[in-house]
Amino acid sequence: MKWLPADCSPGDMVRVRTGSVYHYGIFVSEDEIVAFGLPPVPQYRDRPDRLTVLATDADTFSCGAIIEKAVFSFSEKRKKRTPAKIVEIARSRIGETGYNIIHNNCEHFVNECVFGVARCTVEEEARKRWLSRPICDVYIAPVAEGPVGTVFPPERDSEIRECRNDALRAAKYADWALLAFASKRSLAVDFEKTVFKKTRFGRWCAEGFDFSLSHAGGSVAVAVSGSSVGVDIESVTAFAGKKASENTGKLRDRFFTENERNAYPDEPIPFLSCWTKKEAEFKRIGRGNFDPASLDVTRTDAASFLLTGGEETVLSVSAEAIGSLRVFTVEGDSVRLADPRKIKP
Amino acid sequence: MNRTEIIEKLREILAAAGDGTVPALSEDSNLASDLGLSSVSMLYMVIAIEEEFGIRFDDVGASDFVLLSDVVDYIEGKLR
Repeated sequence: MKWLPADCSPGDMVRVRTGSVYHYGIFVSEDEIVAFGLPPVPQYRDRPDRLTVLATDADTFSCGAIIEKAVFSFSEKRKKRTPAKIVEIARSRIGETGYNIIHNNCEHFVNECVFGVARCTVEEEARKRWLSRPICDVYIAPVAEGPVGTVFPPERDSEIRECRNDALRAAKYADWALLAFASKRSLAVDFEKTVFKKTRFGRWCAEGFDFSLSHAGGSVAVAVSGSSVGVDIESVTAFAGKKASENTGKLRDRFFTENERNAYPDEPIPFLSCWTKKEAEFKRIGRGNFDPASLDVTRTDAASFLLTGGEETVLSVSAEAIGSLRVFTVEGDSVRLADPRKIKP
Repeated sequence: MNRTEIIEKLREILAAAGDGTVPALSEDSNLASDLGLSSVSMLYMVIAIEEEFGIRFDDVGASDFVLLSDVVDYIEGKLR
């Protein structure tokens, strides 16, 4: 369907632009255009019939704007009713109410008159935009105490059970269990039917979505996205208790690029911010060996956050859909959208 | 789903529908003046709510929602 400013005939689908939206009607004559409501302009705001199917003249319908008519494709021409039938149906509906901006508006009305199917392109596009929006969700949870449960797929389950370090096994289990929860909640993934495989670089990956796992201290983090994503967390508390915190200068000299040394001060939180960004970036790329000195995070849009309220943790995320990032904290059955403080740069 | 859970889910929707900023919401938040929702972004938000809550806003007018509590009332009623 195309829209052209052209002379109209009875039964034509017509529209005018009012602000950011269009107002639609069925043309009968210059003195009669049938539409569901009046154009959404200030001068009609107080008219009682503004949301009723009504016939007006072309001046009232257009509000001074140019009237365009629909020019149909061959397949649309085959589906549309005859002009006489369109006019008959439009007129028969004069006086109807029940306007609804999403499900029963002026565009639904004209499509119903012309094709017999109520539809609105604005609604369809908005719904499509929502359903195909980029998703990049990160979930953080504490590692639960107690024995590990069973996870899917069996190969990952065996891998977790074979881990001899109790704390590491618990963290790996918590991370994978959180992945199952996160992918179902954010991406509506049927986790138990997902095909998982391990790349030659030792990274687990899933068909249909990307994910990344991290654990530190008593917390685990999972990132899920429809496009590439990497996540890393480090416990500020645990880091401060290690010798590493006294040697950030040496670590910075060895692993940070000049740009990074200039951008990140020699203090624990900026150090962890840069370091976790490197890890997150490496995980997002998903191949090769981790060579921190060759990754310059000042050239990426990876983001770092400081999570407080429990164990102080630095979280970094690198993702294609970083602009859509949401961070959730999970405690038992409670999931809450967090608003963590962004660490600059 | 209780009112607190509905508001929490609305926060998630608004964060995803907007620029990623996590909005502070309360029952008396005004949709236009506090949340800055224009008529087009309101339409987008309503469609997002339909998809996420599995409901249809099929029996409301364009100006039935002023405060967030109006939206919560409507969702609560639909889910009942």
